[in-house]
Amino acid sequence: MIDVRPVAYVIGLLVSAMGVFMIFPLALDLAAGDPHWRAFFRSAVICLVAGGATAIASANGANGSMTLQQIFLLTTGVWLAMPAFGALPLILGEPGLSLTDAFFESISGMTTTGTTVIEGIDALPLGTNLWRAILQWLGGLGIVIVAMLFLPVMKVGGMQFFRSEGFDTLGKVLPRALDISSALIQIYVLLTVACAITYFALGMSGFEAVCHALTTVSTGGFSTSDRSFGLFQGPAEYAASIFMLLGSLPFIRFVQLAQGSIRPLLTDSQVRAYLRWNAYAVLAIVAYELWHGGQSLPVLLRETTFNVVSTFSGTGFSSVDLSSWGPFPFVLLIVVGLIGGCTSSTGCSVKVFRYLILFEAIKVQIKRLHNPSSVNPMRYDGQAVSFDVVDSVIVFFTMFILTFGLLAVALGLSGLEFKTAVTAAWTSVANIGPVFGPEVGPTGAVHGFPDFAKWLMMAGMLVGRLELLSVYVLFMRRFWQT
Amino acid sequence: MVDIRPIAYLIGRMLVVLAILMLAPAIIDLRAGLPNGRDFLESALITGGVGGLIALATVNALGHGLDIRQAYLLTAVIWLGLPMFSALPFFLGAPGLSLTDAYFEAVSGMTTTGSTVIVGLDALPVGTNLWRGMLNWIGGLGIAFIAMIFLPIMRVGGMQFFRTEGFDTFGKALPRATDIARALLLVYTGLTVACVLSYLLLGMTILDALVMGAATIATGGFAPTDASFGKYPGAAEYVGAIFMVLSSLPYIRYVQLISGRRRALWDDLQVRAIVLWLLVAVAIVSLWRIVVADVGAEEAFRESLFNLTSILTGTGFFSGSFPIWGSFALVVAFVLGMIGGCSGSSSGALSVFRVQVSARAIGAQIAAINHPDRVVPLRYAGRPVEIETMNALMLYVTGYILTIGVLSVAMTMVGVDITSALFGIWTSLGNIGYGFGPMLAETGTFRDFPDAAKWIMTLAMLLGRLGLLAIFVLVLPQFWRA
Repeated sequence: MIDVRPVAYVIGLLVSAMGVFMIFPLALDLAAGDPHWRAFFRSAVICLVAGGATAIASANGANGSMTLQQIFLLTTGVWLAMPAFGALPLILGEPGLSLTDAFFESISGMTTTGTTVIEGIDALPLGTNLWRAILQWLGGLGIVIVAMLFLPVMKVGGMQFFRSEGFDTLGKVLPRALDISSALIQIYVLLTVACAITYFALGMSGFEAVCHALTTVSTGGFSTSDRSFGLFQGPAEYAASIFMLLGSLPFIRFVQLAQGSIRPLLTDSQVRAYLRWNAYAVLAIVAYELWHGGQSLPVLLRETTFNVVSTFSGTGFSSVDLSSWGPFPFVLLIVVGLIGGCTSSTGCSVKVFRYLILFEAIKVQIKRLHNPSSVNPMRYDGQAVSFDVVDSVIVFFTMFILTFGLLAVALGLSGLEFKTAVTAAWTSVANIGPVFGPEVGPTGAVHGFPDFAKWLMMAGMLVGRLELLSVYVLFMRRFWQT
Repeated sequence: MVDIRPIAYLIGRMLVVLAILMLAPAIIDLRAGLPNGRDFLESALITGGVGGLIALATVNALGHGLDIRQAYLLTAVIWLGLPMFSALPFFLGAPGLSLTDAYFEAVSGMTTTGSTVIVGLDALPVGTNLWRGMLNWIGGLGIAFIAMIFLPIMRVGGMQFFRTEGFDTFGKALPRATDIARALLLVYTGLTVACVLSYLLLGMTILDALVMGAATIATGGFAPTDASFGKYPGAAEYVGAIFMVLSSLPYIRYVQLISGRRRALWDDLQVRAIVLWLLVAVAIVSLWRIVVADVGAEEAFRESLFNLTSILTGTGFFSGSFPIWGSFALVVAFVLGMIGGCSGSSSGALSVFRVQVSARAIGAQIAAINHPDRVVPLRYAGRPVEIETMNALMLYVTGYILTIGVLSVAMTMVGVDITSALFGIWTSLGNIGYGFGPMLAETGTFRDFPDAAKWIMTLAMLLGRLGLLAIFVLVLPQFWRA
């Protein structure tokens, strides 16, 4: 049996930390003279008490190191416990959601998906909107840390390739984890501040700028308005595109940049491919729309850039009605959503790295077909790629498609239309945000979905965020033995 | 440079055979006094003339057998070239299709897809309908032959696993190939005769029984009537389902069955799986149908059984109102169509074998996450699956999915709506023949697709039929060098 105390200890600490974060919306509502602050106060107390009690109760089991199994348990545990407590203010305060809806909103936040069940976001108390943004910000930060520290050791989906860049041995996890985490947090905070200032300079109110910055850098996608970025058409869209791109680049490169070397960022194959593909997608859609006699080029270019980057990075802001663009741009958006950002970023989905490995493997395979005895070693970024990594990547890809497919089937069974079911599965597994279809409300909110469908989507978001296999492994009996 | 003369010689001879086969519909239509008979004669003359000349010009190059590159080229050229000539009757005679439509129809026939562009099949001359059935039949035979003999040697998509069951070295290919081909022909003809006779007994007209019998065994799906199997509801659907399943089983097992191994069929893992999966899917869909649509149990079972079998085996007959049953049935159909029949049969798509091995590989991967140091050898049917086979296979699966994605995007680019595009590629790449979507809603055929979309689907049918890589490899520059 696994010793769950170290896991419980960390989760307890994190839940208490979440209670501390609730001070921000609490203070905001208090300052605005809105009695709604009580909801945050009660939630914060619950978080601190529950988290603190858990941490204290299991403190004697925590000795600073963790086994592989405990790490698996921890990642999934964190992404279940945090949204559960993060949902409290949404139940106790405005908009007084049901349990299902509150948990959905909270998970959608912590997984940086950005699908909302709330219609009438503009009318929410300031604190609630700030809290939704904070959920995404925390979720984004969390996933960057997990992606850089844990996934390489967990060997999920080919992430073992990045092992040496994080660190190697399990025994040393916590001390080095703290080093890397603090570097990450600094960069993450810096990006957020830069983003907020830019937004403010481009005409958002201070509150809007902060909330949107929190959800941009985390590639989350929650907005303070039903119209999302439709309110801020213009230069703000370009600024957002840049920060969404930054949020979906490998954060390790920023750490290296902070240490003074810009080369790793510029020569990273992932970064180059990601930027290139973004450009291709934008150009293809612009060309298509021009050919079909769309609007003027500057407007077209701006809207396309913003919405493509938003989907590609898995953010999920929208500034126009995407489904009115015609079949080709729409399908292209679905496709880029299935690619996603770079590894160890806040971006989601399959990720550029895995596609690069896949293409390389397919190329090698085709070469072998007509020249069976040739040996073609696979290389990525100048490093040899072991069979093990290729295998994991292929399996990950297959799992991703299977999960996506099965989720779509299940959602179809829950009564959703074909298109709604497919895009809902797409948006949850790839943590993107928008859903398309007749059941979706006019503002993009999915409150009209059956509860069963909402739970399915939550499962999809969670599994997609934690790179599938790290969750699936918990369902194996052998995991719990030994 | 590849010596193309032996290939040209074989193609030439095949064209002569094709010309001889065209005489059958020619004679039937001539005796019926239809002008269409003359068009068949003309087509036969052109085909025979061209084929004869090619064969004569290259006859002196034969005698060294084929090397692996020539084998690739041959398979590709057969499936590109023969449909060109078999399209002649559609082009020159009734129904006077355009070049695009005629080639589409012929490729759809010879790849055993079964998508049609002709509306008003019942009014066509007997010869034309017979010719369509013959195309299905020839194509099915051809692909069964290639699947058993060529693909294992070509090592496409993990098929090298079946190498020993066919034969090993390429030097000995032709003599043993003749043996196998003879046995295969016997089985194939035997099944067809049995199927046609059963259909006749169930009250079909002679033409219907002949064409649908041939199309059933080829898992093709052409029918001489717009209503397909809807014309014969009841017992014929059960019999049709049985024969469709029989023709999607590995033909090598029938050969073994004849030579005295009584358990050959049922001992095959693929056979068991396809029967099991089919029954599960049918059970779920019929239950859903009974509950949701409130139809009788027998009707629900019969129509689910027939249509799902038709899709899983890649045949493409339809009956009842299946295409408008709603999203759940559609999604189940989509999944089944992706799976397809067994390796070594005339069915297309991923094949049961590949799905089974992928599933095991995924299981092994999850297990390995937990115990990184343990090596679990992957086994299939008691034999170890080599890493190389595994990789080829998994890449085939991913390549297949990526191809669906890329081609669907291409379809939307030329103006097809999303559902029609996705299902159009699904049906073409999997050689299924079943269409869904607004573009087919009016006629139930592919007539109303834009020409560019028809060419994309034609390409998809060929890609799917020849196992993707067998075509992709031809695009590689290295292939053509020394």
